[in-house]
Amino acid sequence: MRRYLETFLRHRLLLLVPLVLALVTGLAAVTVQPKQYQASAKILFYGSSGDVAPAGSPYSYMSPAEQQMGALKELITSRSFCSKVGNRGPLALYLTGGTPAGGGVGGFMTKIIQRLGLAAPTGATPDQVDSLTYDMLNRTVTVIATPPQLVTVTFSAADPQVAAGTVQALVDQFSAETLETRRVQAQAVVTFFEQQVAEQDKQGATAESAVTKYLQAHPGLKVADTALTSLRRTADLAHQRYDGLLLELDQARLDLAAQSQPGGAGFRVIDPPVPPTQPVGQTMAAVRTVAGALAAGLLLTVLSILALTAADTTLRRPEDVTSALGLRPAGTIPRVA
Amino acid sequence: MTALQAGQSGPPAPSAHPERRPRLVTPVPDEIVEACSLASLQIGGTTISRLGITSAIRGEGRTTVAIAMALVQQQDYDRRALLLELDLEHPTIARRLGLRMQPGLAELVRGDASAGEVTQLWSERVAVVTAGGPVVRGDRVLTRLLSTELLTDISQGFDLVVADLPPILGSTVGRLSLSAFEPLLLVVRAGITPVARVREAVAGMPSQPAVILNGA
Repeated sequence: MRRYLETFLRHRLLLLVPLVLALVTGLAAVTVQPKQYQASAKILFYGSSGDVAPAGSPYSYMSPAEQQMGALKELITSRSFCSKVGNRGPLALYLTGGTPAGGGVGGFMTKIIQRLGLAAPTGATPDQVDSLTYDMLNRTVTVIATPPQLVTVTFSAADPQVAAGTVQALVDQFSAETLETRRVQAQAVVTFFEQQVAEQDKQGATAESAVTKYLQAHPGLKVADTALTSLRRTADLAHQRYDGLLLELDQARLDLAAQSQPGGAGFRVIDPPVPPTQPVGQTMAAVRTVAGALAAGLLLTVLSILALTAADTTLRRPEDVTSALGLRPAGTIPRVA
Repeated sequence: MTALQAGQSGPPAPSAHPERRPRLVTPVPDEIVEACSLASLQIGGTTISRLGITSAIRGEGRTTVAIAMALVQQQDYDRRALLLELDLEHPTIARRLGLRMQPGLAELVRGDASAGEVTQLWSERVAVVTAGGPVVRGDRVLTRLLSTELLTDISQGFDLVVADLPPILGSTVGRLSLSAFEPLLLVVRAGITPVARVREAVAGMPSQPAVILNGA
């Protein structure tokens, strides 16, 4: 331990330089880092678990909020969804505004922002903007479920309007995707029942026709015989099934119509996103950055001390004469200025 | 001319009480003389008649320690010391002590000067024999010095001969004179000389030297 301390005291300036450099770098990083504004929206999902996932489904134990949180997170991993969100809201336009990084402090700041992925480079293609949008949304959007029905969506950006607008666009796009899915499913159900109703109508007409033909064939029949009873029963059954299918068809059409109404997607936004007025967590971010820089500098200093001590193959104390050479130390001459 | 005649401030006259004798103004700091005084006790004090000061490489403070050791003999033990400069390739004692370069050891060995002519009195009880004129074959000079009675001649009248030997690894004749001056005191510069070099120097020494750390 003493050797390490001696090494540090001998090279203290050299060893403190990394620490100071790391601190300065950390402070500079904090200074040039653009402020971040965070906007969020709270969404309330209707229904119980069974409405979203049928009984027996592996997801039926999850609350609606947890299930929808999973669905939204999956959508965000999709490039097409992110591209639509970016174009629906202000994000794509914000990222497209690649300002030429000129000279001076402003140009330097622009380059830093572009490097951090917070703005597209000058002359970016739509594909580049889509990639940037995808990266930014995946990196910055957080979706948190508060069971059973509440989900909070959060997004951070350097511009408060962009932050709020993107959250709104995300919610709107999610609503559109959900509605589209439900509409397609509802339409499929309507189409199915329409076919069933038409088929059943034909069967009913056929059964009625059979009864009529039988009566025409047996004009003097005063009491219904077995055959006639059977034919009438068949016709009654056909009519009953037809009526049942009509009810199902009406319900399916009702469901389809409900998709077009507000809340048809199965949720509503109870806290819409509002452009934030204050940047988020600057103090904590600064503390974390400086602490990290100090830790890195300290680690470098410690490693340097270890390396310098290990590389020191000289004699420094009388004890070293005995331990390294096995010789008798006669004395020590102090360092004289 | 001796050092006293060369304009140096002369040493004070010896008094009856050595402990009250005024200290000589020396080219060696007092801290080094004090350290060498303690080291002198470790290597024999007044029992030794010869002392060889050497080092592994140049620049470790060999000559300074040799001068200090000679002074210690005068100041602590009231003994007469002869400081012999055997580093013929890089002589420095004449310049450091304000003495004449020649005649010195080289002239003595060649027969161009006598023992009395090469011995210069530097202080009351310390005399110096410098290396002398430029030497091409230092090994020949040392061999002649050690194999004839020359060393005995110049040592007459002195209680201790302190030899400022050449460095063991930094000189072509480093190991030549080690066996003639024992005990040996190895000067090592603390924090400068690698242990491997010191080990290499010690490996060929006729006996185990005492080590003095310089600058610890």
